[in-house]
Amino acid sequence: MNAPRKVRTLLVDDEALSRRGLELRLRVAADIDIIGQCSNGREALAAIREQKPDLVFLDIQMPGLSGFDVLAELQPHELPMIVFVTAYDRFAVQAFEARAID
Amino acid sequence: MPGLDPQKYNRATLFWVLQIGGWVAYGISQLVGAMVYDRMPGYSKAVLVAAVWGFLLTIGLRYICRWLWRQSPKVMLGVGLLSCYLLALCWRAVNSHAYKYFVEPEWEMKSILEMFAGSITSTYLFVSWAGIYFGIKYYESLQQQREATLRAASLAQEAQLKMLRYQLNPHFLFNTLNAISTLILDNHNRIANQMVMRLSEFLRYTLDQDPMKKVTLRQEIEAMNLYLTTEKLRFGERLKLEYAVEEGAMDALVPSLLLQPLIENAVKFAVSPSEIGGTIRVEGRTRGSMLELAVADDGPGLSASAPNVPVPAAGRGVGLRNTRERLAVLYEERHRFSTIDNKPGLRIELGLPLELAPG
Repeated sequence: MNAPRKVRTLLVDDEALSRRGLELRLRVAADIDIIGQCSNGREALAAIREQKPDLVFLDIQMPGLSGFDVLAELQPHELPMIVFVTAYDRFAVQAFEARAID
Repeated sequence: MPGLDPQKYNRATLFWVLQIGGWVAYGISQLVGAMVYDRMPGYSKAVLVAAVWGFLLTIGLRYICRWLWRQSPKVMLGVGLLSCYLLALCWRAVNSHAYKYFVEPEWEMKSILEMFAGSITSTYLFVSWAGIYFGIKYYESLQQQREATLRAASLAQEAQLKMLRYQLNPHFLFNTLNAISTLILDNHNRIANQMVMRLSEFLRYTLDQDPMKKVTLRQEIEAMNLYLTTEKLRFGERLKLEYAVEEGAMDALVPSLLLQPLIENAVKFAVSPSEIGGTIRVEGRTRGSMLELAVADDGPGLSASAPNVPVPAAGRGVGLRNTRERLAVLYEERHRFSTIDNKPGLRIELGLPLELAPG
């Protein structure tokens, strides 16, 4: 029997400590496979197009391209599942408008 | 006198001193007048009766005046003058009898009208008494009002300073606690502990401060360091710091947390939105009787709105305006505040009167 396919996951946050925090917390989830990490929107855009992850943990407030800018750049067929990561309530509401899953 | 309001006690004493002293003075002046004009024997007894009777009547007038004090000006004037006339009439009636009894037994009043007319002259005495009474009372209430006004003004100033004082940004706390949580998960216990200690020290500095209190620039910079090393943990190499503070300026007094909003702004607008980060430079020096401080960054400056900052935090102007108003309340005209937009880079310069910590 084949092992169930893992969820290929990309972490995007400009703060290294936040990425590390996500990584440590996701490590306990056996079906999550972290395929890469990005520290800004530009890298994230490239990585999403190149590696086609299933799931992206996306920080909203980042230098250069924000999380929203990244989504706006992507074509509908390129869109992975997105979990927004933010400290601001205001962004969270906006995120649901952008059809975030959690 | 235990259990008595000292102010009330003083006022009662003042009343009795003036009341007794006034009527004694009245008696003496009448006696001296009598001596000069060589009046008949027995006159001093009549004067004594007049003084004692006047003394007693004006104690009554005191209660009338107390009531009048709370009335409208019309009632005060009308009832006041009428009371004075009636009291003068009582006074005059007794005085006439005493005069007849002690001085001139054969003296007869020609008509009762003489008494009503003569009382008008005596009324002046009672009106003067009431005038002095109200004068003192008015002076006292004016004094109390002035004190109340001063107290209110200083309370208002303190309230304004409290409002303008730096208020801890809740996101700072949130981000820092998240960072510490990750450090613990990652088993970096030593660093995590350092962070908790710094955060605790910084919170004490922020939350415990009296807004009227001034601290030395050294203390202020130490507190800013607590804050910045906490932020450095999040931003890593992207946050660069430079200090150029003269040793002589370190003991100068500044309002506590004066630099905090300026530095927080610089982090938010110059470091956080940039991929390569930014440098924050803090300068301090003394020039003559002034302490000059500057916080500079190499971010986009004032004109560029920070792209990824939510609206409530976007007002870089709020922090600047609060700082400016706080300086205006504390130093009035004796300060300088300027923002220099270098595009890129924002430099905020402050000039305060130089005050040195004692010792």
